[in-house]
Amino acid sequence: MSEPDSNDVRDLLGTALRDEPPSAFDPARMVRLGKRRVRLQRAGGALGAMVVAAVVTLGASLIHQGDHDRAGPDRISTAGTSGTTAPSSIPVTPSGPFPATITPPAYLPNGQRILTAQNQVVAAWLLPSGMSVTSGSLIFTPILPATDTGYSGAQLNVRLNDKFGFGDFSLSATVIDSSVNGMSCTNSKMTCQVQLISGVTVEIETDHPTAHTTRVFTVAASGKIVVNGEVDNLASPAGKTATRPTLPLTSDQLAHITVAVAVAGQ
Amino acid sequence: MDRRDREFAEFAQTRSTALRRTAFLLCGDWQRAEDIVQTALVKLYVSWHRVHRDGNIDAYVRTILTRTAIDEFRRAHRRRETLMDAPPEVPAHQSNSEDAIDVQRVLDQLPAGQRAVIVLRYWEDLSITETAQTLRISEGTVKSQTAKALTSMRKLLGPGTIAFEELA
Repeated sequence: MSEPDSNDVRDLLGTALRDEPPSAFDPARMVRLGKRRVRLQRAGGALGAMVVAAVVTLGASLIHQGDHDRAGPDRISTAGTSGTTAPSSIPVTPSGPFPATITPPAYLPNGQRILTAQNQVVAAWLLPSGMSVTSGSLIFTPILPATDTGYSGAQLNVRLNDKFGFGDFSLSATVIDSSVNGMSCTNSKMTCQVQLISGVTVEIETDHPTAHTTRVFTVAASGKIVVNGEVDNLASPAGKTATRPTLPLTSDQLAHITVAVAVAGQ
Repeated sequence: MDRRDREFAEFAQTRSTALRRTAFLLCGDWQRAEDIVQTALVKLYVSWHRVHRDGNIDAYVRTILTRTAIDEFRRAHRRRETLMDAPPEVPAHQSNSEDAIDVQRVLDQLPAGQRAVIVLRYWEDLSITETAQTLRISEGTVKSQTAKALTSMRKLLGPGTIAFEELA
């Protein structure tokens, strides 16, 4: 058995580089291209999330319709979604100050149904087409305000098992701040006016304990709020990826937030 | 430029020449090599925070670079592949200015996988394990691909171009 002298091979490879032309490499250009790529990814994810939200809304409306027609012969079956039926005693359209405890409404004002307890399973037919999630494996609960002044504790937990073997991938979103203070100066002599900009900051954290390739997740809230993220543990076999986007939600919208998550394998 | 941009630009500036050379050895064309480096660096930028935090930037960008180059190489190879009745004549070993062309021609004759193994092991000086991880193949495959590639290179370049250390 023989092994080549690695220096010989390296020298040989080096000869191939003799005619190396000068490089016009510009790191600033790389930064610009990188920024553009980030923007494109966000735009693409936003489009996908809008589709996801639309399909989820449609599915939820069908459930709502089915529940209203419960006594009728054409009621939409919810078999296979045990635990997802919301108690009818819960007020339909909460208004005014936020409740002191997490008491999710059964339905949103637009008729969209939300889940009312942890670890409920979404019916397979509610999942948007294109989602690589196996039947009954998407679990979510709505983000809701814990109190009327603070939002800590309102949390979303999602676990997904997709056909790519994403396994124990989990995603959690927590409302960690109810507002963002913005400051605008009215003149150059230190006279500034503090403005309170309505919005909430949501911490989204993904946990990917095993090695996988890139996955993209999209969170659509209330059918119009979109958060995009990417789990790419090509270099880090395991760990957590966190992002803290500030969502332009008003206080009223915050009470009616639902979340859909799509995981797309690449 | 914010901190991320500065750190990324500094890394890109420092490593661009080495990355470009590796990409060239993998694909055999300077223009394509530049494109491959650009692709790898843009992907790196997108994942910069995480990769930087994990402290394995070189391995990440090398992996992206290699896979992109292999894909490019295979696409280009398919485009220019032509069927011939007989294998091409083996060129006699030449020296000086034509060495570069010879070596390049020999590398072009290697399949993409073998070429990548040779470049990673002998140019990037990666271990068998590191090469296997980068290419996502087994260590046994790395060894067999290396042996096949070296045999082909010796045949094509002529005897004496690659010395062998006899092991017990």
